[in-house]
Amino acid sequence: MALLAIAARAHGEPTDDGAPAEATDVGASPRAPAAVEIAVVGSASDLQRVQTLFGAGGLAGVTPTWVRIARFDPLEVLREHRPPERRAVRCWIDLSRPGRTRLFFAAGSGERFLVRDLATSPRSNEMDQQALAEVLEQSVTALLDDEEAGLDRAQAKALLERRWRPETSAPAARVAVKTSPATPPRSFHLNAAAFYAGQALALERPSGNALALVHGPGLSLAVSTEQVQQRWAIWAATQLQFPHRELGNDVGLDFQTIATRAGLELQQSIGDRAGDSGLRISQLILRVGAGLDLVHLTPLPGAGDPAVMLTRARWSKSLVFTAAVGAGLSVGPRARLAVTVFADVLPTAVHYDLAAEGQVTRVFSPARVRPGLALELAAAVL
Amino acid sequence: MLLLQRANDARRRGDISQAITLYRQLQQMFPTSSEAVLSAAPLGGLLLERGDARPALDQFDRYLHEAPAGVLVPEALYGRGRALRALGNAAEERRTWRRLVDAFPDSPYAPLAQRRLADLQ
Repeated sequence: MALLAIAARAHGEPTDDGAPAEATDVGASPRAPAAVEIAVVGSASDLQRVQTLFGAGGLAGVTPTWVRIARFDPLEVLREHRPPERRAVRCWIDLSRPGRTRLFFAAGSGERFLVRDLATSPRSNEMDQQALAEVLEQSVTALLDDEEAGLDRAQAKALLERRWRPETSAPAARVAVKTSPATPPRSFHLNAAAFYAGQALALERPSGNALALVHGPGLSLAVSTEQVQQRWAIWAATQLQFPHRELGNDVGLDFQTIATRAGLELQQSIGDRAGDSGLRISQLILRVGAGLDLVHLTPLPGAGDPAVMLTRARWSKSLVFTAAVGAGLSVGPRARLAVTVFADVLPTAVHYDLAAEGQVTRVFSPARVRPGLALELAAAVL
Repeated sequence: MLLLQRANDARRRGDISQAITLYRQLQQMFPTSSEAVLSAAPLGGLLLERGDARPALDQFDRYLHEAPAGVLVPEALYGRGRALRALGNAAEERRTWRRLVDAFPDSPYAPLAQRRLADLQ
């Protein structure tokens, strides 16, 4: 395989002393031209996929030469002899195994080598591709810029034999292959949130309908998938509403609700292009779920009959379905502020009655559909 | 993903300031995304190349904190060591090179780390 691609780096490179080198023109660069040859071990689509990662900008400032090979023996990296060539790198990208990408590098000197083993998603997602591009770029740059980077021949031989010889010569006696500490990014995120929600309760009363507002703080947890554009999350929340009092002529009632909910959430990023237009909202949120309203009821004497006999305070529970839509915006490196509009729906009507002298009269009945508004501050915990 | 690709493309064609702008935009808009975490390593490299060692160090530290087992940990440690050298923090620089050599002896940066450790003795 001949090295065909020759170019010069057009921008400054980090130097051994940690300081950036001055940017130089191609023609004025004091460095020798660089050449990079990449062999992709895999299918034609694998080759195309890796090629597209480097677009017009090339790899490490160099337009590489690409070839595809069907099979590859890692020890070939050491066996291939060529005349020494300055500022040249050969690279083999082995994509033949799902869930693992193996990278082998040989510097043009023929005396320095690199081996990297990347764990990827089984179907190699976009993030894996971007990570692969970074590793390729950084590794090639290191070998081009530092003649001592990487392993010498003896070290590389020992490493390759340790990792691959048992695999190729005696598959039945396969031994555990030492892998790099690299693992794919987390596949989920855990977010914790504090929120304050208010909810309108339309109250049907014999003396005339009224609107009550119940509100209170709450906490929630959500476990979401790792995808960026569209994430699914499982969430659970609990809210303590402040007590609300309804006072009629004959009897009154204090009620305080602990609302528990759980369900599914879809977080849809508005898109990378949102930043181009100055739009700051970064997510739309859709949420559905169900839960229980645990209501603590304390009967009170009415305004017109303070001597009425009251039942004891008690707990009541109601099944609730909920749906919400909202918008979120980033307020820090790991935090999001969101506003959601939601509606709770009770499948069963609830009403509070007064039983006196064998007669039951309705005191009030909250509507089964209860719209609300919540302000939520969420932070990534994991 | 689009922002990350655009930033990477800008970097590869040598448009450093555009790449920095796009990486920063990505981190601001999608701070908890994997793309934002991944971008910290190349952004740190660009900032260091531009002479901004302190923000570069922040980026490398961010990557190491957010992706302690990520594929770019050797690169982040390498960048961290160089940023600390530029900032004159010899003690922390020594610790970083030691960590790089111990955890990634086969990495391309291990020989340089060894040289720096010898210099810092």
